[in-house]
Amino acid sequence: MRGDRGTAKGGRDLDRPTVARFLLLFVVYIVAGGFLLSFPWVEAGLVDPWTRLNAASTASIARLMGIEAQAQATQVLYGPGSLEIVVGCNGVEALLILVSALLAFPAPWARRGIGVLAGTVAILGVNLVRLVNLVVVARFAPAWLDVFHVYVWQVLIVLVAVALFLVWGHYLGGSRPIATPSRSV
Amino acid sequence: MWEWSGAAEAYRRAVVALAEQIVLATQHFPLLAGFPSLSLPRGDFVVLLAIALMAASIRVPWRRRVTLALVALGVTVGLQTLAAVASIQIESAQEMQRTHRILVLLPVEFQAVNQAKLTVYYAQLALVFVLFLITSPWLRELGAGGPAARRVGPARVVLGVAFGAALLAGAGIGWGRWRESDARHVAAHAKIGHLFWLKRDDAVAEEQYRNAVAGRSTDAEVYYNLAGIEAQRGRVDESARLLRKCAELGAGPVWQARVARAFDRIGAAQARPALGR
Repeated sequence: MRGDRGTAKGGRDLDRPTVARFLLLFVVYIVAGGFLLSFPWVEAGLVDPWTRLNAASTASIARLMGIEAQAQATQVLYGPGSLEIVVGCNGVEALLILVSALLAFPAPWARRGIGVLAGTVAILGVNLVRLVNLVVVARFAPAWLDVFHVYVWQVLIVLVAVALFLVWGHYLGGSRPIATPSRSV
Repeated sequence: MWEWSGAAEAYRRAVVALAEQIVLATQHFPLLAGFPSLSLPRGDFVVLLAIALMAASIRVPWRRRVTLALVALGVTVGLQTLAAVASIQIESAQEMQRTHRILVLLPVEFQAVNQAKLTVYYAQLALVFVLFLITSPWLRELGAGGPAARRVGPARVVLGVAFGAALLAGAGIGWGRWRESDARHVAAHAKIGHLFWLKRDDAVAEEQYRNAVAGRSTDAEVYYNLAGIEAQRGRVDESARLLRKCAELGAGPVWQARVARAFDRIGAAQARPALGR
């Protein structure tokens, strides 16, 4: 594959320092974001309400699909069992990855902002699909819950983030040369 | 297949064994011997993904595919091992707090280890992100090209690595010193010393007592027991010095009587402070 070596539009090569800078910033933003998320006031004021909203929305959608379900704080109770939405299942971590990549990419800030907003809506929407799917699997095929929870959706949600990043790159990030000589490392 | 073939369990055991070796070789308090029932965070999905990507990326040359998969596997095992080490630290600290009221990790350390565990999880997802990205045939859509920038020379890389290593080493030393000066950590050394003293493991008890003394422990028992160890070795002067410190810290007639008897036993009654006055 030519693209894997970093051939950009117009046949120009992605220079290694730019890629290295992107990767370094990507990691820095993830660590910083993870640190920010660990603050009790962020958890209490942002993550917890969001997780509760996820639980409530999941239960509502499940009911629309004919599954008896109700939300209790961050739990979704369905028929014989319940699912607890914890860190790693509320979409925040996939969002952190995507936002870190968008912010680390050398594009104009306005475009990064658009990417962050659109990405937030998309990731959180897909995460809702994930949660509803897990309730359906837990209700009707509980033996497969582990497979879907660990192996399918953890990868799928990141794949969605990658796809969003590439789509953003195609329409916004890469529509004109991004790195200018003065900004190159 | 991964689960049913037993590969998942074998992988889990390998990671736990690796984490065990690291924890046993580096543990600050000699409390842990093995962790057979450790529940690992589930991160083996990255292993499956790396293998699947290697098989599916048909436009990538084989050599590059294998290299990518091996790098991904190496990083995954490393991250999983770190997660396992963090899990062991957290679980053992909680256990010691619950059963013996010993603060193995200071609150800020506990938070840091917990945060590290979460960061490792984020790092695994980031690895998945990067794997998808670099094997994607649409990578060129990013169009991040521009005039070729100058390459970073090896000297700068070496300098950067050396600076990073020095920074880490400095942070490690500073953190170690700060921890050893915290009264709660010093108390943990003292309490763990007592545990080993009761088990008649004098060598480990002595090591812990010495750490407690270096941290200016206010636990009279530490000085008393250490004085006993020194007396057994025939170091009467050092034993007497520790007993005098013990007499300073151990208020009340019971302590004074104990110290007085200890002075008599080691044959240094003349070095005894004015006890009981």
